[in-house]
Amino acid sequence: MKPPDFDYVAPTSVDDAIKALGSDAEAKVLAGGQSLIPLLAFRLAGPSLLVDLARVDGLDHITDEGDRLVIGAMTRQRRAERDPVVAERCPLLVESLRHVGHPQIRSRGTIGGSVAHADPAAELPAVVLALGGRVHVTGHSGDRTIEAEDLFQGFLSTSIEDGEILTAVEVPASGPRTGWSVVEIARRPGDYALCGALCQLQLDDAGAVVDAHLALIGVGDRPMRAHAVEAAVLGGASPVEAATLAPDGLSPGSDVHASSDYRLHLATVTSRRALTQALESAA
Amino acid sequence: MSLFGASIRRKEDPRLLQGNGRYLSDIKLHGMVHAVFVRSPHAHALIRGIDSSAAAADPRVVCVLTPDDLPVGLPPLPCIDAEETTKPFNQPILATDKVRFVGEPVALVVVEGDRYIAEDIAGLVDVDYEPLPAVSTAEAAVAPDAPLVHFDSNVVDVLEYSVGDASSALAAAPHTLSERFITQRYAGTPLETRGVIVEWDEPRRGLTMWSSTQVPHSLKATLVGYLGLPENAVRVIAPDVGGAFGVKLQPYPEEIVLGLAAEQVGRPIKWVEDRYEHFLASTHGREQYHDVEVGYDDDGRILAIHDHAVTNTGAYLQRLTLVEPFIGVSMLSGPYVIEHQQLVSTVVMTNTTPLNPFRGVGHVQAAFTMERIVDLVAAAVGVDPGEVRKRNMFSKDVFPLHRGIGNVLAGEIIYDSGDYQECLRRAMAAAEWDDFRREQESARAEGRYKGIGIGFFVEETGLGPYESGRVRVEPSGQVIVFTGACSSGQGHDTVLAQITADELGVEFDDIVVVHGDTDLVASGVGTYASRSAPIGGTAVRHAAGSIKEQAIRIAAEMLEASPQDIELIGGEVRVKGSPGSSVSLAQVAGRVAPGQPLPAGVDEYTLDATDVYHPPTNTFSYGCHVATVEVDIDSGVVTLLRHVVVNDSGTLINPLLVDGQVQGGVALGIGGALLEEIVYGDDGQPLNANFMDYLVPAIGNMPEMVVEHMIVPTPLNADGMKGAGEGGAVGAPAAIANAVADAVLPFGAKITETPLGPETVYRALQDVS
Ligand SMILES: Cc1cc2nc3c(=O)[nH]c(=O)nc-3n(C[C@H](O)[C@H](O)[C@H](O)COP(=O)(O)OP(=O)(O)OC[C@H]3O[C@@H](n4cnc5c(N)ncnc54)[C@H](O)[C@@H]3O)c2cc1C
Repeated sequence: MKPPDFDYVAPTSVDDAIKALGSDAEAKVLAGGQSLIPLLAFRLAGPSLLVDLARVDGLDHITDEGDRLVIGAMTRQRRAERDPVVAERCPLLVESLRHVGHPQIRSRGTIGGSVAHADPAAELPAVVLALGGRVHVTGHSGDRTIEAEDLFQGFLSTSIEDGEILTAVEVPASGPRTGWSVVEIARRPGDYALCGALCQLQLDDAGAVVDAHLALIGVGDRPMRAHAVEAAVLGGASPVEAATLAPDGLSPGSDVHASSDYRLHLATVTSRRALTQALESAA
Repeated sequence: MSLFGASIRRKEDPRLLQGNGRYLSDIKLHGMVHAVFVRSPHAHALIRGIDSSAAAADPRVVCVLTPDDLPVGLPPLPCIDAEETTKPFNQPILATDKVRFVGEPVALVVVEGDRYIAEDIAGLVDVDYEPLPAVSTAEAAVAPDAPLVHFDSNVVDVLEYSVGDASSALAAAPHTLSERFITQRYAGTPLETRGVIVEWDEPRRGLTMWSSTQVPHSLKATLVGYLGLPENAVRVIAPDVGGAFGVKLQPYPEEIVLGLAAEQVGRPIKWVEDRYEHFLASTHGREQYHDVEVGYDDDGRILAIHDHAVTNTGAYLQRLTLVEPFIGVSMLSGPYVIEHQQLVSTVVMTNTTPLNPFRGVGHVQAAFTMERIVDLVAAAVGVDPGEVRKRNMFSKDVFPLHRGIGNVLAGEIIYDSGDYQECLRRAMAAAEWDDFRREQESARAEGRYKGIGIGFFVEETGLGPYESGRVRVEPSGQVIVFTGACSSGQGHDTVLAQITADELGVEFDDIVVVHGDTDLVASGVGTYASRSAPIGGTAVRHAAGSIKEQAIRIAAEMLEASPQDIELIGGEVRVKGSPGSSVSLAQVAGRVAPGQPLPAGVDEYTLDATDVYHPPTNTFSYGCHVATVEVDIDSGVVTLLRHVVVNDSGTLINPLLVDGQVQGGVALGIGGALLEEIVYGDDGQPLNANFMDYLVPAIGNMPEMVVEHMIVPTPLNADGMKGAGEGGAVGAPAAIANAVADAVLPFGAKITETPLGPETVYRALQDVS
């Protein structure tokens, strides 16, 4: 459980980081290290160069842009969790962060690292997906923006190219009469969920749902947006009715913690509870 | 006031909590080199050859040892509780022609540098394997065409015990029921893994080995045997040990190989097991299922039992392999009078990491099986589980109770003391049983499912054969206590000092306790089987008692009184009834310091006494756990609400420490009940050998806990102490499983296995036809 040999650089600007990444085809970005270091220790990853973003200027920020919230990639998860602007603009993100590992992990883990790592059971990728957010990336050929729905490509895989760095994560700010909820079934508090549902609903003055976001984690090779459930809720279905659609199109894997069938069952259970709680908190 | 029985804080804590402990990994010696083991990646394979030339050619390599480099004819790892019928499926020190589990050591690599480099170089050792079909479960291993782990058959032994005539009694019983109960494989997982430093000591023509072990003396004897060195050439030191739980209770192949490499390398070698290796190569425990048939009457009295247990003991016999299968059946009936018992225990080999006892060995499965049965009987006859238990329990005047069952290692099972019915009554009262029933009722009306369950156990503790204790009073009056029991964090220094302070009336702070060094402590057995207080503590009590006698004899001369008239109180040796006429213990010790004539009738220049205590038989602790839970019927998630334990470990030296033992044990029991399981694929590959996937309980899994003590002293030793280290782990899975079963009773779901993870509970709810 010791990493193989690698080189290490800690640039101070995004440009230098991009250059360093470009200098070695086997280079990898190091953010909080909470996912990457264990992979190295098990020798499941063997990059020849680690480009540490910890000292890069301009990646640690929380910016309120009115209808959008932009969070720098190197913002520690713990900081975002306790930030009043995030609490006001994106309460679903705060609630989700509370389910990410433990405080010690969140003090090192970064917002960008979690999204770039794209674990199918991770909360932050699912928040970005559920809310229809996007990420900003920079590479040697310039900056680009990737919509969340195009970002997650498969197990631990995104459309961020080798040599590119994720610089910021952007989510729409929540409007009035918005309710949210994160419901997870996990073996222990702080563990990756066997299955979880992250939900945000917005009501109109009459109490009808006018905006519905639901993403599921742990039920596929990437975070999954439950479009069918969202449509049903917008069409006036109750949480119980709508949640029965949650397993549609899912084919989760089995592992030592849960079978595929059981995860499908939990998709319904967590969706129902998340919808119910989000409705209650919006009302 | 005597310190004996007082909840004082631990002597060791200021040092340990301030980071001044000295664990194996903290030890750094001049010129130290680092070792790793090349381990089998296959569950079962022939070794066609080992090419270590690429590794050996690396300039950083100090040595590579393959099986061919070991002395010829090295005996395999011994199993000391093997019966005559046990097949000799022992583990070679390094795998020779065949590997039989993933993680089995195949070669040793020693490098200049550190563990990082050692791992790189280990990757260069090319072992040519020819994979063979593997088998990972006991059921698969006994199938007719199963791959053979060794030869002949995968059944290494079948143990059989019986009292009465179970077949006839079952046939005559008004009712019977049968069920299979499954306890999974899990492990002790101490926070500190194993680790060894060995240094060749040229002037001594021998070696010093530091090892994170529970049994330094047994390790020394093993090294003496394997290395052919004289006894005075081997010194073993167990430094601070960060948890052991049984995982460190035997000398392991790694220690022997490192011992063999010491002279050749000539520099100190360090090997620290990493967590992945630990999951593969340190022993596991538990994996055992029981097929049980019981006969009972209309009142819920259990008349007869037939149990066939099957243990998956892994790829090789270890030092104490048969304890798990033996205890699993022999302690099955626990506190209950069951006149007719037929017990069969089949021990099966598979291509998995070997089993050896860890905290609660065998008792966990016995209690889980029996306590589930009692609840099934209670439900069948429609009587409250508490009442059915009472009807079946031994009364308090049966002791000593000869059970008529025993084995080579532990002797006959003779329950020494107790009051089981009172323990049950107190635990149910502390759990507010009747109130909970009402709460359960109203919760059900709201669609919430709560349950309450009892886990009663009787546990064999205080195992012999002996332990040593030595007390020496320095001329200053300060005291050193030497014990053969070796702490792995329990608090030996504290409780042995309490015993000594009590006997000699000296200050707690004037006592130093020494353990874990074979040069300093002549003989010893070690710490396991909840033995250190009842056996080690008694030895210290006796040794301190001898000091007291000596002191009185010496003081008699000093005070010109007759020994009968002298007493030792509060560190003063004085003439009874005349407090003015006294000397301090320091003065007494000073009186026998060298450089002066000895007092009459005294023949040694020291105040020093040793006792090696051999207990007549073992002590039997017991306890009653009552757990309450809530089950989320939709998901199967179990939430623990409250956990009550009433425990009898006899006389308590320090209730605070016993509370800690019980609480820690319950945490392990919660792990076993809900979370922990070492999982293998059918091909024998481990699937969760890391702390991300192997789930030990964390603080968030712990419910509110209530620990109370019953104190029925054992007549077997001077202070009436019974073992306290394991009961927490033993009763908890049974109680929690019963509580879960109670919660899902309205649905008729069957709860017959642990761990009760959410999917297991969910499936049990689905399987109701
Ligand atoms: C015990 C434990 C429990 C955990 N539990 C959870 C949990 O419940 N839920 C959860 O979501 N997570 C959990 N995590 C993971 C944690 O949230 C990680 O912090 C996160 O997944 C990765 O973030 P990081 O900053 O540590 O990234 P790193 O580990 O440094 O990097 C992860 C990957 O992302 C890449 N990367 C990082 N930053 C960038 C960037 N700016 N641009 C391009 N690529 C980048 C790296 O190259 C690497 O491949 C847990 C971790 C641990 C150790």
